[in-house]
Amino acid sequence: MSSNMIMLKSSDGASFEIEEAAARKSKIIANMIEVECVDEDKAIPLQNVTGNILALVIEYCNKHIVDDDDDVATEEASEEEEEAKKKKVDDWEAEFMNSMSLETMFELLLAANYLNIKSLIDLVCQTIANNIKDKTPEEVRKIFSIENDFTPEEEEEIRKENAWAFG
Amino acid sequence: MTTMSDLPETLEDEILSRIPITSLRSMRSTCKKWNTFSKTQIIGNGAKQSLGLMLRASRHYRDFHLCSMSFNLQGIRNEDDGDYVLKIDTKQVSIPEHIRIYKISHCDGLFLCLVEDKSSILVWNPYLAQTRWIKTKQYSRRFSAFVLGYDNNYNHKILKILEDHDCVSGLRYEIYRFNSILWEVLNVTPELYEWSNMHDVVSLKGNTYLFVKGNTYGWADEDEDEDEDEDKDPIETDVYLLCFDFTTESFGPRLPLPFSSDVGESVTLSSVREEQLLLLYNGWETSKMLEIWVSNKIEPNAVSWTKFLKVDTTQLTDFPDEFDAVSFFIDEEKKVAVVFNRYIAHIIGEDGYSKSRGFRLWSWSLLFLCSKFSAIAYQLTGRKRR
Repeated sequence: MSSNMIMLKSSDGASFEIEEAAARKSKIIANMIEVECVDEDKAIPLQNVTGNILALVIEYCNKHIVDDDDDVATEEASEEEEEAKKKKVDDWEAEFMNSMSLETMFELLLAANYLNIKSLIDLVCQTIANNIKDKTPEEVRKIFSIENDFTPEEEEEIRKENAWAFG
Repeated sequence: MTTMSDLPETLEDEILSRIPITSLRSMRSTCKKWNTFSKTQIIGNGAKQSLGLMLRASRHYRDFHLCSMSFNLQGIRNEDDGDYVLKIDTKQVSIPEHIRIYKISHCDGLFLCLVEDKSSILVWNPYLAQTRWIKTKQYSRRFSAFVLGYDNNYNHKILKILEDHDCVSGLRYEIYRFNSILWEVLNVTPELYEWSNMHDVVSLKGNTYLFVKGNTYGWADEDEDEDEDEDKDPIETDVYLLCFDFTTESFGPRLPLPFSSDVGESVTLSSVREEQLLLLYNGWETSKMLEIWVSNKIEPNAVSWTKFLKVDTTQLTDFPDEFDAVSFFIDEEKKVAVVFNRYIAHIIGEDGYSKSRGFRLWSWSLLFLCSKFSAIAYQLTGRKRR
């Protein structure tokens, strides 16, 4: 496979070289390539993504570059191999998300949304949602910087209403 | 600092819809928006886990705790390598303290609970935190069964089956329709001749499927006191399924099983998302095979089956000799089944993969798996539907 490289430029001026196949994970970039607005020696400017976040996006895309190609190429690959590969990716994703702060996750989510990378949006949303597990409402408000807009009476009411709620 | 409030609404909603269902209560108390969101759609999207509810008895059976359990089967295997890990998360569901639940069954996100007071039963939607108490004549927990279902128009009903020697068949059937709030005697004569023949029940697309073992002697309710009947000699056994159709309010004909079963062998029912019926056959006597079958097509009067897996249990490591399965689920992707008895969860693969994972169910506990929750208000509160 010829690896066409393209350049991406973050909002704070950092440039990144990335394989076209990886960059195509982003629907937006794939689109730009399709309609040929990519000048070979010019970097694509990404106004809404800073360098540190773009680096994470690229890391993610590089890791996932294989699966799309494989759909076509691995017809003979055994089920076990498929599963092994999937497991490897799952482990990598867990590790990848584990290493970042909640704030970084939100920024990464905004970038994934802007670049339209569906699988990354799903991954980040699920990881953020899992943060709520086993936390009290106070803790949840704190980590997500959410204002408590209930009056004490309303809060009591909700508690009563949910006496029979799951969880 | 970037946080939740900086996200466009679609992303925020995406996150909220993925909050684990066991965090429902915390979510509702966080803020108004989250509270409203959780009531208009079901959260817990994207979770790959199976969810169960367990009634856990305290040491002397004085108290029962209701726990939610989530089972997450992780891992991967290649030929002789790799392993599965079953993660079990248990969390107590804190229902009001004075309520004691003794038995639970479910249908499409609604739970039917038998409580201490035997003159009423409780229907519960744990997602919307709604309850409805239904009056009934004093019943015996041992010789009555209640099953919940709904008809084609989504009207919910409860079927009551109770032992009554005044009836010709020895069994009496009554139905309660949520919109009429009355118990009415049903004039049906299914091929069900003795209380003790009814062994397992599962709800599927609103209807109820009963596993029937005809002409055997046993005891009716495995979760209650044991009988002396055990040593009576069993005679010829017939095994089949019967469906109670909540639309026609009648039983269908015998539905055949894909295997023959002898006395003393165990058959357990389960479902795939309440859409496909699952049968687990565990041979003890004639053979030591364990088979799991899944229905392709299932209706009150017809069923066809496909084998999901078949293994020789003598070849499985750590598999107990007389494994009395109380519940199970399958992972279609991984091609494995997770089978529970009262003490262990056992992961079984077609190729002979086998692994035990112990957990505490206590001897009187009851475990079942639920795959669905419902944000539809039904007719539980008598208010208009959402």
